[in-house]
Amino acid sequence: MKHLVNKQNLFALVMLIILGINVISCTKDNVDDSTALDPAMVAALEQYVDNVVIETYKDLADASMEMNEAVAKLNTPGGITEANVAAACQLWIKSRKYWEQSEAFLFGAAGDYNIDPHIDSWPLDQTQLDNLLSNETIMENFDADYAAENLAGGLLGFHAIEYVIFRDGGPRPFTEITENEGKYAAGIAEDLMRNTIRLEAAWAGMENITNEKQTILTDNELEPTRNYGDELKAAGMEGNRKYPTLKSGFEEVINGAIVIADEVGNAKISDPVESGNVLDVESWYSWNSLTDFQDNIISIENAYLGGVEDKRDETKSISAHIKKLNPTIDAELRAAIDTAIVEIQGIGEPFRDHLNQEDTEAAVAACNALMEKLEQAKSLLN
Amino acid sequence: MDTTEKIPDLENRYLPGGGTTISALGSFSFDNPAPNLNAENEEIHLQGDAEFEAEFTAAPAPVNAGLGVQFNNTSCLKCHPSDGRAPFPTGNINQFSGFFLRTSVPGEGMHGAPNPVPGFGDQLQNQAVLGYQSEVKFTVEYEDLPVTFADGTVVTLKKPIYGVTDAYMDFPSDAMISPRIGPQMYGLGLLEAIPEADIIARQDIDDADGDGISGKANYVWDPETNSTRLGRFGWKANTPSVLVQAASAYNGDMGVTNYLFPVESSYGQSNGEQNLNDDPEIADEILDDVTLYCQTLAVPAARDLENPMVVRGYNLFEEAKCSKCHISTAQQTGVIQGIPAISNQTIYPYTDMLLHDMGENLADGRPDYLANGKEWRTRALWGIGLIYSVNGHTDFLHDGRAKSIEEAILWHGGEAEESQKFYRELSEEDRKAMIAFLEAI
Repeated sequence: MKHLVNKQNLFALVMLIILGINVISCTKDNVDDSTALDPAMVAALEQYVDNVVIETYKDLADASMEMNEAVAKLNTPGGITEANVAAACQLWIKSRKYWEQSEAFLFGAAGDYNIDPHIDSWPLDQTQLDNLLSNETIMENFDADYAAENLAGGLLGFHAIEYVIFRDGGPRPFTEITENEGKYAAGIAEDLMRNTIRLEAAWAGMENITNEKQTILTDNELEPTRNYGDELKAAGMEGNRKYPTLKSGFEEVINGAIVIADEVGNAKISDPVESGNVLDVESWYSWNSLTDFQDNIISIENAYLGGVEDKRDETKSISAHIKKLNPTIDAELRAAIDTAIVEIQGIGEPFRDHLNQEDTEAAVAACNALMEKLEQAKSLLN
Repeated sequence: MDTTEKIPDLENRYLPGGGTTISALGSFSFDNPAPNLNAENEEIHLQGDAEFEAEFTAAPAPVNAGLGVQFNNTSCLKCHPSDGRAPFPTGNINQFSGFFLRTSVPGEGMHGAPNPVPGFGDQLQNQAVLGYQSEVKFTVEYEDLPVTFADGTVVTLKKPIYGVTDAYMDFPSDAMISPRIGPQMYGLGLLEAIPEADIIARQDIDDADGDGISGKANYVWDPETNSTRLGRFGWKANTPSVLVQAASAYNGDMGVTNYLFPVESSYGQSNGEQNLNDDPEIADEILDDVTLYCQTLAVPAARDLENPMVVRGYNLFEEAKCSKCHISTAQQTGVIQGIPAISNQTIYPYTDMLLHDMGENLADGRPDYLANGKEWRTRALWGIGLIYSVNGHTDFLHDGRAKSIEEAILWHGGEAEESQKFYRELSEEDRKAMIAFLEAI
């Protein structure tokens, strides 16, 4: 994971070493007195967990269930129709939106359970896919269980479904889709659905998801082993191994945002420009790339401002805390989020037709500026 | 003993990676570039970072071609998630994971290496590009090993017993197998930079000092220099450098050929012919960039070293003689040409870089160069307390069989038997103190 570190913090740390100064002070706060936790910071983390992460994952799981139902129709006799393909495409776009809006928090369950690479690997492994689709022995019984147990990331997830149902930025002509492709897409969509439900359960707790979702997880032995939401909400409380301080909880949230700002600017946009290879462009078949990138920045916005759009409470946000520490940096960070969204939009659709430095440099610079502001905000926590 | 005696040299010990140390908690503790990298190396590091993530696909393909034909996983990151440690694959052992089995038959191979199994080589790939049959599938069963503490507490260790099934051809009955799991990646360049003379000076092959602990360096073949060199990496120190480790992982784990290993691992096998004449499958600079990336990941800072419980744990660690192998004093790195960030650093990795007999329960019965079937290289302990945060599990040792740091201690036998017994004699409070120390460094 590309992750740029806080240069200011690092400079300070190196100076401490050079000057031979004891750095105990930078670690002493690992033992928080839980009675002294800043209630505003606690509230901000609760808001983040409940109204950013869990809300997004709930929407993602719900949309993935809808997509699964739609894609399953392509695996029914006579089910590969223009209307069914178009419906599947719409629901792919809807699910994709929530997934991309979750990428500022790929830490925790998405990584520990290997869900991110499982459902969002790129590139698609075309050679293996051709081998799979032409292998009647495998395809006869192909389903989500087979996919989960036997396929690598390049044959799974959003881009595998996208390959079957999209072409050139729109629904694929239904007459081109074979029965085996319909069966394959259905298996992949069900596997994707299970994993997105697992994400919701891992943050919200099994008891807080619907009975239908619980059954899907238990039937497939995918019950999460810990509650990531409770763990982050309890940052700074005694016995919290992962987040021994409130500061470490805040840093986690900001680091998650930094990683995706970096990824959008320096990988998702820059890599295909550098290579000139249109196949380096993620979401290649749907031409959804720029929407993906903007949703990634919206993920940062939701994380920073205290909620997804209709659940937002800026008084309980990371932003409110940063504003108290340095209102200028808070304002600049907010502006940097807006600028990044605008500049990504400014590249021009479809992204594949603008793989040159002139069209993309403003967006890359805006992502890097956003990353820098996030680093500055993080440094204020010291 | 005085268990309140302060931990010495806190100034340096808080920064176990010297100038490469970064203060970080949470999920992002292991994937940071060393903060003291110069601009040129930082650029290479970031390029290597992207390549480390790259998902390989079966050739021919327009992007990242070269996966397989035989392989264990599809990217570096999947065996070293978040640059950390892979969990043991629970449930289906053949799911995509950071686990695999090495293999060999009795006798010596080229340059003293393990003798490869005809038709299978020295590493078993349990995945294959669709349309090909994988070499084998892995199996595992468990044997309970109850361990009783002096206070009556019982912990039951699960001893894994591995096997293979569904081999594409007869798997020889005399073939030995040895499990491996992908370890965390930070600090590797620093370990590479420890002067060879310092490591050799710690050897006590015949236990001349009579302390029951020997320590032996491994000497292995280096395909970069075409010479025998000190082994530093791998669970049995069977690899001389980060470069060779990375190159062999590309080839053995992913089936991706490169300038050091230009021949497919399954070359000549009936389940492995690719015939695409596309070797090496990655550009030379990709291997070099990934190597520098692996050499220059920041070491996480130590924490809480003045906490009384951690101090108590340190003193118990010393009294138990754990530090005979996991040496707890500072080490100095030498010079790695071109990477000043990892050169001339004062570090606290808590390893002597030597092989030790770890007893029957950990034995794999498979020699690897000079390492016999009971010997393993002392692992560095820096940062292990953060694995739970970064990777969401606490599976330790060479195959993840230990489910906690405590279990890892209990698995120690052979030269470490007395230290393990010392731990078992401790009160619950003292046991917690020692774990607290290990989680703090």
